[in-house]
Parts: sequence; structure tokens; C-alpha cells
Amino acid sequence: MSKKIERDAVVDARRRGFIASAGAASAAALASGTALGAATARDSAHFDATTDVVVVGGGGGGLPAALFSRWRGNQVMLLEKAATLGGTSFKAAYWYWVPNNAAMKAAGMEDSKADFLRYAARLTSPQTYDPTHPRYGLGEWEHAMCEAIYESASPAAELLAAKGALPYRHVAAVPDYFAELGGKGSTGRVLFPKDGAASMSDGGQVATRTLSAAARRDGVVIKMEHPVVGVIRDAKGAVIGVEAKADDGKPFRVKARKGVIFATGGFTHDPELRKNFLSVPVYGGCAALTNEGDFVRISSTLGVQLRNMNHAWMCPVSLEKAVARDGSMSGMFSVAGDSMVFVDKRGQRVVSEKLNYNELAQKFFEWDGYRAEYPNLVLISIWDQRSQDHSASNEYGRLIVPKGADDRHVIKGQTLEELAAAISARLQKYSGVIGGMKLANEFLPNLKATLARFNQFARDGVDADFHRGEHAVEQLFNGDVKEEPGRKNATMWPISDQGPYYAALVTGGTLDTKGGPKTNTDGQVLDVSNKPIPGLYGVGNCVASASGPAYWAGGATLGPILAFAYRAAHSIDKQPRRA
Amino acid sequence: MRSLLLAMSITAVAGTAAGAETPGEKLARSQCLQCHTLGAGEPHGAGPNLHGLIGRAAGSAPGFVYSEKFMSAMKGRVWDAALVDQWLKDTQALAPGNGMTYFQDDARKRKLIVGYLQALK
Repeated sequence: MSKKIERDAVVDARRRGFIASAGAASAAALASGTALGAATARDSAHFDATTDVVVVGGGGGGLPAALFSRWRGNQVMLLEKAATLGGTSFKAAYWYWVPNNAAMKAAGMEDSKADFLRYAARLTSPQTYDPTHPRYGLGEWEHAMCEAIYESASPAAELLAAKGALPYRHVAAVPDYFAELGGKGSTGRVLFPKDGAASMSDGGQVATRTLSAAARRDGVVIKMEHPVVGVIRDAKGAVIGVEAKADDGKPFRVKARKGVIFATGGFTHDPELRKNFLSVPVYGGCAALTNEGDFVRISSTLGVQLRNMNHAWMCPVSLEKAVARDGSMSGMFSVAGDSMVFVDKRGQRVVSEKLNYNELAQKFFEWDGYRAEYPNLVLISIWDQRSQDHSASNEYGRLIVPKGADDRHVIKGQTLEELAAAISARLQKYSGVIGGMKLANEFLPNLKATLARFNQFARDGVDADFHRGEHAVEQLFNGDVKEEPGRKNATMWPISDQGPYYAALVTGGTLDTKGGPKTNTDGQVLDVSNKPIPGLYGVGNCVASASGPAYWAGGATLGPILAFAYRAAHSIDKQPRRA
Repeated sequence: MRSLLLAMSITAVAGTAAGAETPGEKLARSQCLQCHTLGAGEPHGAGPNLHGLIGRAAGSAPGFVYSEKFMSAMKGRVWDAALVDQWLKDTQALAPGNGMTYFQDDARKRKLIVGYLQALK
């Protein structure tokens, strides 16, 4: 039997032809033995452990999927690649966006399914959006996935709370990122871990703690430092287990009587996949360093349909931290300071600095077809002593940090002339990774004119160029600023004409990518004919998100992930338990 | 650059031959580096810099903001080998509600990590 399985798997891989078409990335993975090849190279009948459900990855998707599966009476083994649980979600603020949540209902806040779907459609597919269309212009798959989010995110959140795995508090006043385009429900969808700080920045630490504690309490078997390198299939192609690399370096093969749920995150930290699938030249981002596209590689022999590979959850990041692959880095989810601007290499503003992070991050990758360059690839954040004194923070990846914090990314100058020279020197240091970008000759005079213009906007309370502070969410993410009674727009204040001045290099990054194999609404991974591959599930950033390019709201990552973890666990529970 | 500096300072401090990584060092790096730095003078990450941890008072790394839950449980205690071992066994058992979730059931691994941290000063 074992030889047949092995032969079938290899034949399968060749027949599907994915390897040839997907190019260097998956071919390299196979050559290095990290994909299915490794898993089929040995006797497939031999297993080191047996369980009902294998969950691969212990982050924002895997921990809930493991718990939901366990609570339905299954034996569950969770295999985590890193030495700690939480994955990317550990570093996240861990807001989770739950449409029509129980707290909204209890408070009498209306959030109809139609309103929710219209809002999702408007942002996911603006070019086909039609409020009168039965699916509001969404494709069938996207529509079904969004319906599943609406139906299941709240039951998932409620079950996690009831079991003490993720008690929450409702933050009723938080608006969606484009609440102006949504219906009544576009405020109040955000839940947050109950014991998190008032500033709502540390939810990931809290959630990782409470979810991990519940997993241990309730008997989820957890194996740390066990990266999964391939799936094991039977003669009919059903996934019956996985092969991991144990912490002692030996293969560790687990039989899954009901199936396997992948929740391994995206490919933020794989340069090859980034380069070949993302449409923008990002340097990486704040995903867990273990997010290296494992499921893209592992699934590449299975005849899956990769979807939404070109999009990511995006956020501005410190160029220097991204290049250094700083594992503690957070994306800049809130840009600090009122007397602060971003300028380009010519010394000009190009964007509202307070725009929500996903949209702000797009700005770095605008292509200038006339000059054949990314003119904004690196923008320079500039602030004065006032913002340094009143807006410094260790939270949300802000670049204005307090004394004692890691400030290696901060560039200083007593005058604007000194600052410009220091910025030039810093850019020079990174010349090799930013295409030799330099400050333009006119940078300094332009900068002075820019500051004068911005300062007038700040005095007027109206940014006539980029509308800074006009979205509700820009005010929400303003961070701490010095109290100024009576001012009209708290996101702006004139930048001092006296030094010292500070600066930092900013670029766009990914919180994580959001493409991968297409699943159905139960998290089952689909083959090329849209049939579920038996025994194979995926949730979270390792599979295709139905959001397309959109970042609907704070927590629009984790809320839907909880919904699909819940649905996948229910579906896998119903599978027959193989002998 | 960061990892290079780190590697240099670690080999210097731990007194190992250049290029050779002891089992303790290897383990400490794989377990700790996601959130901590280990080299002298390196900035804090999600957790505090761990250089010279053993022998210092809990919650005393300059510039690191500790959680209230951590401080209320750990204030006044000094990190010695036994306390670090207990910490690594389950950080949440020692200081419930603190920001670090880590549990190492393998006593051998804990001993190796503690041994490495002891040499880091």
C-alpha cells in the first residue's frame, strides 16, 4: 500500500502541472525537499502519533481552530513551527471585527446582513459594486464567503468567550475604516480582549495568553518547533496526516483520522514568493518571522487554486526595521504626532499621514511611469520637539518613541539643514536596497515651503491638499497629542521653526499576505474542479481571503479568521473517523 | 546587522570558540529571539533585553515598560537560576496575566537555556 500512495502522490504532482507553471518558488521548495516529496519519501504507513484533527500553526487561526475542534470531542494535536504560540496575532492589537455581534444586538445596534454585504462589496470590488445587484456586484465565491463571515463570526466569538478562552469587551464607538460608506452597522463591530489596555494595543498578548491557557486546560496536544513540511495522502488523494520536522531534527509523522487544518500564515517573510506574487516591491513586514509561505509550497503539489495572491494586509513600517527583519517589529497602525509630516525625496507631502494604515501603505508603491521609478518607495517622516515630547509612544509601531526605547531608526538634526544632511547619510546607508534613492537637490527649499504650507493648514484646521483628519478613523488613530483647547482638527499643529527636528525612513510593508489556496465556506481547500480535497482545510492568511484588496475595518483580519476557524472545525468534526 | 552584532557579542560573552554554537546558545536563540535581544546594550524588543538577566532584579531593565501584572507578581524578586527555570516552565503560573506566554515542559531544555543566560554577562 505504501508504495502505491507514494507513487500516486508523485504522479498526482506531475499531472496537476502546478510545479512547472508556478515557477522557481515551488520548484526550489521541491528541490530542497521541503514540500510533499519529503513526506512521501518514506513508508507512508508509519506514523509517530495519531489524533483526530491536526492543526498546523498556533496563531490567530490555529489556536481557535484547535479549540473549536477540541470542544466538539475530537483529539487535537497542534503543530507549531516557532518556539512560542501566537504567531503574528501575538504582536497584533487583536481587535476582531464581528458583524452583528451579540453586544451590538444587546445594545440595540442594528447591523443587517444586507448592509454588511453592501459595505464589503463596495470596498472589495469597487469596480463592479452595485447596491441593487443581488450580490451587490460581488462574485459568487466572495459573496458566499462574506455571508459566512456575517453568519459565523459572532457565534465563534461567543463560544470563545463562554469557554473563557477569549473573553472580550465591546468597543461600541469604533468605526469601520470607511464608516462613511457603510450603513448603521459600520460602527460597533469591533471586539477586543477583555483584559487588554485602554489604548487597545496589547490585545495579542492577552489573547495569546488566554487562548493558550484554554488549549492546555482542555487537552489540545501542543508540539512547539514542529514545522510541517508536507501532507500525507492516501491512494484516493485524501489527506490523512502530515509530516513535520521535530525539534530534534527527525521526521515526525502524524496521522489525522478526520483531517488537517492549516493555519500557517502568509508569505511575508519569503522574498521569492513576495517578488513573484505581490504586485508591489515590499521589504517584508510585521508578520511572525515564521510566515514563509509554507502552505503555498505544501499545497503546490495538490492541484489547488491560488487566489488573491496579489494582495496583502498592508501597513507602513520603518524601512530600517523591515530590512533588518526585526522580529519584534510592529506595523505602524497609528502614525503619531500632530506637528509631523511625511515628505518625499523632493521635500513634498504626498498623502494624508493619518490615513488608515492599509491605504497609507499603498502610497509608497505608486509607479511614476514618466520617470520609471517608485518615487515614494521611501518617505521621510519629520517631526519637531513638541511631537517628540507629547506624542512619543511604544505602541502601534509608532516611530516617535520615548526615551529608553529602541530609537536607532530616529534621525536627528538641530536645524532643518542638519536634518537633511543626516537623512541623506541614512539613505546612503540603505542605497543598495532602495535603488540608490537620494534626496533631490531641491529637497531643502521644498521642505521649507512644505512646512509653511502645512503650518497654515494646521492653523486653519483644514488640510486643503490631502484632507488629513477628515475621516473618523484618522481621528481615532491620532494617538496622544498635546491638548490644545479649541482647535478644530487634532491631527495637525504647526511644526516649530526652531529645532531640534527628528526624522525616520518609512516604507510600506505587509502585516501579512492574504492569498493562498481557495477554500469553500467551510474552510475546505478546493481542487481545480472546485471540489474539496478530502481531509484538507485552511484558515487565515495561508488561504485566499475573499476581501480582495480591501481592509474593511480594524480587526477585519481576525474576525473573519475566527468565523472560518469555527466553520472548519464544525465541518471536520462531521468527517468520519478513519481507522 | 543586528544578527551579526548579536552573534559577535554572544560568542565573546559565552567564551565559545568562534563559529561554534553551544546547544544552550542554539536553544536560547531559537526560543528567545522572536521577542528578546541577547547582546549587551541591544535595544529591547517585544520583551526586555536579556543580557545580564541572571542576578538582576525582576522588572529592572532600563527603558522597558513592564506590565502591571508582571510587576505585582515579580517585584522584589531577583532572577537566579532557579527562578528563571520556574519562569520558563510556565511564565503564566509565576506571574498570571503578564505579557509573555511561554511554557517549556522539557527540564533539559530549560537547564540549557538557563545555563546559557548565566554566561551572558
